[in-house]
Amino acid sequence: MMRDTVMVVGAGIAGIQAALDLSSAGSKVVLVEREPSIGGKMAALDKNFPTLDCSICIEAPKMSEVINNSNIEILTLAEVVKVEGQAGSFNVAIRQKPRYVTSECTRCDECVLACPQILKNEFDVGMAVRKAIYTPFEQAEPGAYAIDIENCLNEPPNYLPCHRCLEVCQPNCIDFNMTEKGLTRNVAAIVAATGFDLLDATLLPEYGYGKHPDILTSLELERLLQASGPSKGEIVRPSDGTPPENLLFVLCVGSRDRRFCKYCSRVCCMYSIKEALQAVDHGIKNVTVLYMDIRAYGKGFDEFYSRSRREGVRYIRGKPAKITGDGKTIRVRFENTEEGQIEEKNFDMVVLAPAIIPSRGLDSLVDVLGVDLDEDGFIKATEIGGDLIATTREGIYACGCNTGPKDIPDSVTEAGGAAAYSLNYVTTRTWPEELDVEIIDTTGPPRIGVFLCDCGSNIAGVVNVPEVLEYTRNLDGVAHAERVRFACAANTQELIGRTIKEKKLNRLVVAACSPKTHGPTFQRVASRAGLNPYLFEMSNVRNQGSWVHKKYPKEATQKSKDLVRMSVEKAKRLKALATVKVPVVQRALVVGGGIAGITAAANLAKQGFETHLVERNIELGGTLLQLTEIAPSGLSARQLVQMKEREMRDAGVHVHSETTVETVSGFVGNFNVHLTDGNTLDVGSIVLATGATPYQATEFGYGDDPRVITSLDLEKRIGELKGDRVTFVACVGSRNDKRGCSRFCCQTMLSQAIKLRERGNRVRVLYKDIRAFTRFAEEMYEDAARKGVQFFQFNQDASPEKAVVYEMGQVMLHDELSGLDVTVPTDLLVLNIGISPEHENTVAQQLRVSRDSEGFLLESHPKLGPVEAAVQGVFLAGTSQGPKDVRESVSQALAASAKASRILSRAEIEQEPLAAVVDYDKCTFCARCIPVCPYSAIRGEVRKSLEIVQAMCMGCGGCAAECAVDAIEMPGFTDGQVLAQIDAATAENPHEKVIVFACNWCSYAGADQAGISKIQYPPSSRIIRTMCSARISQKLVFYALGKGAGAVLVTGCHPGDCHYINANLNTQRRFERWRKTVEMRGIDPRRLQLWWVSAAEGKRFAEKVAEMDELIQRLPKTEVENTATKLAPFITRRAS
Amino acid sequence: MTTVSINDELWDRINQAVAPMTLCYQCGVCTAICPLSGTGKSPSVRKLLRSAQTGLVASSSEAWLCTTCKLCEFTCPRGVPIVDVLHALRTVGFSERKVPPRLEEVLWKIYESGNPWGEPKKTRAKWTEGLGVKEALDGVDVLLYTGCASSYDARLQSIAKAVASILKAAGVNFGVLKTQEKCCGDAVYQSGEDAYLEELVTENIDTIRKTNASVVVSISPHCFNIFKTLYPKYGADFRAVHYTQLLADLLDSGKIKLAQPFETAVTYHDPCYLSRYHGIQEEPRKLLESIKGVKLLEMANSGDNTLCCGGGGGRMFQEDAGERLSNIRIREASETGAHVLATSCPYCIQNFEDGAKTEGKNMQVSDVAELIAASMRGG
Repeated sequence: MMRDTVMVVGAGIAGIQAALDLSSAGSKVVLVEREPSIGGKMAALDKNFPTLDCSICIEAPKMSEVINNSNIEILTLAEVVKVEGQAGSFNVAIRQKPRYVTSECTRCDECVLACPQILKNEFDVGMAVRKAIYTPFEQAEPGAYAIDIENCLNEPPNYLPCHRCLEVCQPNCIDFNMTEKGLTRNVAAIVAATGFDLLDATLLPEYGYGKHPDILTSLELERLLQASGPSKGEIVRPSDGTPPENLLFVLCVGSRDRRFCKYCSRVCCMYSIKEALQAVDHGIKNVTVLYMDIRAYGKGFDEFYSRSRREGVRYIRGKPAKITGDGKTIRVRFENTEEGQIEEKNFDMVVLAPAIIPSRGLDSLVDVLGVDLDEDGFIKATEIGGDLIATTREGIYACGCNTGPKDIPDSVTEAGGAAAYSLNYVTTRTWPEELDVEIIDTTGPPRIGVFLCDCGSNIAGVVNVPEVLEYTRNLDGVAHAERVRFACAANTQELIGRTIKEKKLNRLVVAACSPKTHGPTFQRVASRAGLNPYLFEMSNVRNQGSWVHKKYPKEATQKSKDLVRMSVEKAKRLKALATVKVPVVQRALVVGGGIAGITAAANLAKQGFETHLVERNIELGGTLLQLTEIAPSGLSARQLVQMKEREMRDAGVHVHSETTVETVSGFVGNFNVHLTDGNTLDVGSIVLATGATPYQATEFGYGDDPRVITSLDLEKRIGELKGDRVTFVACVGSRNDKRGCSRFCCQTMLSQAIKLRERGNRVRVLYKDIRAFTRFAEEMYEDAARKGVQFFQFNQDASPEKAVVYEMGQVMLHDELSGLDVTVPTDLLVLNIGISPEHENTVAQQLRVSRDSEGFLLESHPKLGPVEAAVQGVFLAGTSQGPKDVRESVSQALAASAKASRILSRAEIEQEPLAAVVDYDKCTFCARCIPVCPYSAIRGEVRKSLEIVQAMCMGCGGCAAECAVDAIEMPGFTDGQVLAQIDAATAENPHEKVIVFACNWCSYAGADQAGISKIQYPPSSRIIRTMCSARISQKLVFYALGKGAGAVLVTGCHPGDCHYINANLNTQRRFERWRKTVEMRGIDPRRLQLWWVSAAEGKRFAEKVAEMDELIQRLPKTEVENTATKLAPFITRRAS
Repeated sequence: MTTVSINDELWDRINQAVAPMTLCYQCGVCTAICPLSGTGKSPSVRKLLRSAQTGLVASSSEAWLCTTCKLCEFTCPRGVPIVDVLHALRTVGFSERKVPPRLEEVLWKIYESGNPWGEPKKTRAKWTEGLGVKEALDGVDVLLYTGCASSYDARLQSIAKAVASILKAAGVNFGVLKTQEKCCGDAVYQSGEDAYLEELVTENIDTIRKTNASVVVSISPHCFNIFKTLYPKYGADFRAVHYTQLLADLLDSGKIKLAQPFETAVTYHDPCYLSRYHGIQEEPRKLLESIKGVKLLEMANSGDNTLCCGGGGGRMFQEDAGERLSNIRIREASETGAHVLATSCPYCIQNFEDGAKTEGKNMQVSDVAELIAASMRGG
């Protein structure tokens, strides 16, 4: 058997990430999902904390990456039923239920309208309905629709066949003859990523869930918040559809509760804070959160918590004793433990945060897999290697919430870790083969083929397609135009390919739906026919036309003509592009020899890559050398380091100790490194595991008073302590205006407190919140309490030095919980310290890896890119990226290794040919473009040199917009192409048009969402898509105005959501300048606007376009006519 | 505000008695769920726990407000034995002479007369007159432990009579200690006086041993509880049962024969010391439902969630400051539409009869044993 495949069970975000990491490192993947769609719980969430990213918007690109990867086999509606063999060769039996809908489905939705069965929609937690044939959610993949056969009327015992869906399905893609399939696959390793469920809140009758409609779970609120959810994004009471005025969030519903789940569910504090903040944003007057400890442990979490308080969310420490609903009001009785007062308050909506529990069926799956469960029913992690990924069976790994509650970045990091472990068993690496077809010569004059899709009645029901066809045939450059029923249907795809060959077409335009969902499909059609896939353009006449202008068929037809003409004009100017291939040095460098560095290096070497590890000290092990025991696993720190080091040396890692990196230059695949030991290395990828330093305490007379020590000092001297009474002070140097939570210190403190208590000491802990969030940490908290450690809470908003006084062997503080000023006799004061970022980090600086506001290395995305630096080929592991415990450091190191592997495992890497290109005939070397590049991909010196490193450029186009002399070209989005689109859009009645520039990731997707949600708006908009709003230059904007367009609307992602780090801040800066110019030239400034739209905000998009439409309707004719003259000095060039 | 120093000695003392008190994470559910919290005069349970767990034992008689109903323990997310912690605080308070004066009186009365009301010892068995109840010291299989309330209170004696007549009819070889019977010690325990408690319990164990009875059946759930949980610690080897358990067994084995139907709606109040302390919820209901014609209705709070009558924890001997729990319970009972409120605890009966009067509800308050005995007589 070839060891070339890994199975991933569960296709939520963790499973998806594992599949992507595996496949891009050359492993084939079988991705097994029991639901009809991949995506998991993340797809159901509205926004993520603390970034407020639209959840599905950032997940959907990952989903489509999985779908379009031919090395990933997706089996939905499937379950693993048997596993035989051992690590390296498992034979897995899978049972797959029939879907009853073939891959020919065009997603026209006619079947759903026809289906008579009305059922609860599980995705909306039962708050909305679905039919027996349904799509769980709009972005569902693969294949949107499936039939829930148990509820279908065609299934016995329903003996009267219904067949309504069959009758309306024009592409004939419903097949009731499909049967259950038994499949077998041989795989080298298995990754379990089966996710979680929420505790059934009815188990806590005192909280009234299920007895009053306005008592909801957090997941139900997420669905209400989502624009595409059952209430279209409004927070309304299910009882009567009106918004609540008094909203209460209840934390720890079944978590930290012996009666249900004794562990902490880890994410509820943060998502509830997020939901509370959203509620405030929705205009809800009184938003209250009842909490016990706020566990805001991650990067930026504390700041997010503070923000919610600033914006008016009220936090009360307490827990409801009883929640009773009566008519409209919900009465909640609790003790405000800060005031010591019983309160009985009325709310009109209550949101519960139920505990995270193992997903349904995990107990039977583990039997099949042959792995153990832990006492809470999660998959048991052996933790021998310091991580929660390795299970009790070799070759089977776990990631995400099936080993315990976790948030998204921790889950995707573990997914990478599970991929790294699995890759150790993959001996044959393969990638999708390139197609062997005759390549069409595209150098001659354009011969454009246009295919106009009816999409059943979706388009043809509103747009007069024959009229558009007639119009298209007469357009310059069009060699063939044809109307098709369903462009994406398999047979039509074949037809298009055949036509390209037969008619010798050298450009392809498909007027149908969104390039975001269907672009890759037609690009593949072109490729298979031998046509360069970049010679393809799409007109989105469905999402931007028929679906949103139902009442204006004439205008929708006119708009469709414009959209086709815009595509044709752009297509004429498209150039064949070849994916860029960058050679790779298949050698890795790991900087830093702490636990993270050792782990990453060992794994890379085991995968077969030459790996170098650089450590500045003699001894490897980093901070762990200063610890005795790791909490809460109880592993010996030294033994772990020794074991890992042995493993690493056995794998053949070249260790450079007492060495640092002197200089590093280059880019992905080709970094050049000089070490202080005299060695020079060329490496393809770099893992930065440079660690952090313990906080240097100065508080409480530390350094002068021998009775004051830090937790790190204590760790070394715990066996030889003098003095009976030990008092810990938490959060020394953490949780202040400079630093957030240090994340691991509470668990360290609890472990030390337990040890001292077991020795017979009197132990007191002074704290703000006990953040025992990691697996088994809450249990440690409970154990410490059981053993008699005494806990005192001091003021959350004060620094420990302000809240706690230490003098003459006494500690004094105001105990928030008894309301008393308390004196605690203290022989030894232990300052519980966290970590600080390294002051200097030359490697990171030279690599241009940015730092976050606290000084830790900045990841590419806080949710989905916690391991990648924004610089390609550079990965982050351990505390260099932020405070972490050993588990998290090890899992991130493994993930970094998996990501490095995707680069190192191939001799060259391919990149989309979207990188900016410099025209040196025009470049004046002014270097203005250098600072606007978010990736530092532009290098040079003023008036001397300039170079855009192709491998580092991500293609946002910010530089092209910045360039005053048009010396930078963005392939696929050149000035010539965009100007031609503007020309086409403004060819007729320009004053009646609004030119909308939309970015590929958010605002274009937002427009798509308006279409999907069938939100109606006036037909005056003409959307031009670019990768990022930063691509939009003054030239393009003024050209459009000068051509007589009624108005121009520039749209992009919300600041902070930008897919190119922060490129859209350039848009904002430029926009302010344009707007001033426009104003100064006497042009109505309302005609040029900037508007942020997220991918979920279809409504927001539609509302803005409607507003712009109203504006152009009222513009005086002269206003528009005079624009060209007024802007004449700025309109420099016409479309070529 | 004055500064308080934490007191290690005191803390050690409480921690030795009830170690898991330190588990509390101060969520305050106990304070808010406490039935007294609705009455205007309530202990801050959380703060009492706080003072115990920090060794900041504040001088307060609040610990004696508790009726020991244990509702808080059933909702405590950390599983803290709250009532035991409060008891530990009472013992500390007792040694500091913080015990409420009424309880101090009760202690003296028990010491002098063997019952909390200071009734004469010799009239203790007056209720047995004419019933032909055996003298237990003559040797019996089953000792019926009457308890002070049912021995002396004219209204409550009827329960004792009912139980005795049922046992007799069922052919049980049982007897009563008569004048040799003494307080079981519950009231002593609740005061926080541990030294005298030990003396009393040891004496009672000796007396009971002399009867040769292997089973002690109590009328009061409070006697039953202390027999079952505390007496074994002092060497008791008898089996403690509540009369509803014994009667349910007799019913099962066909030894109780009911004849007279009772066409009425009855609601059953779970005494805390039966339902929450010992999970005895089915037996009394089974007995009630065995009476033909009885329609059993449930109150909003029953079983584990039963609402205390206000009589436990030594509260029976003290005045209530705020609204009485029994009044609240009477209203709940009346909301079911039942005409009879049945229960199986003398304290509850007494409190509810008072409550029915003050609430002006025409509600018959009966003990399960009384209803069963009536139904048997009818045959």
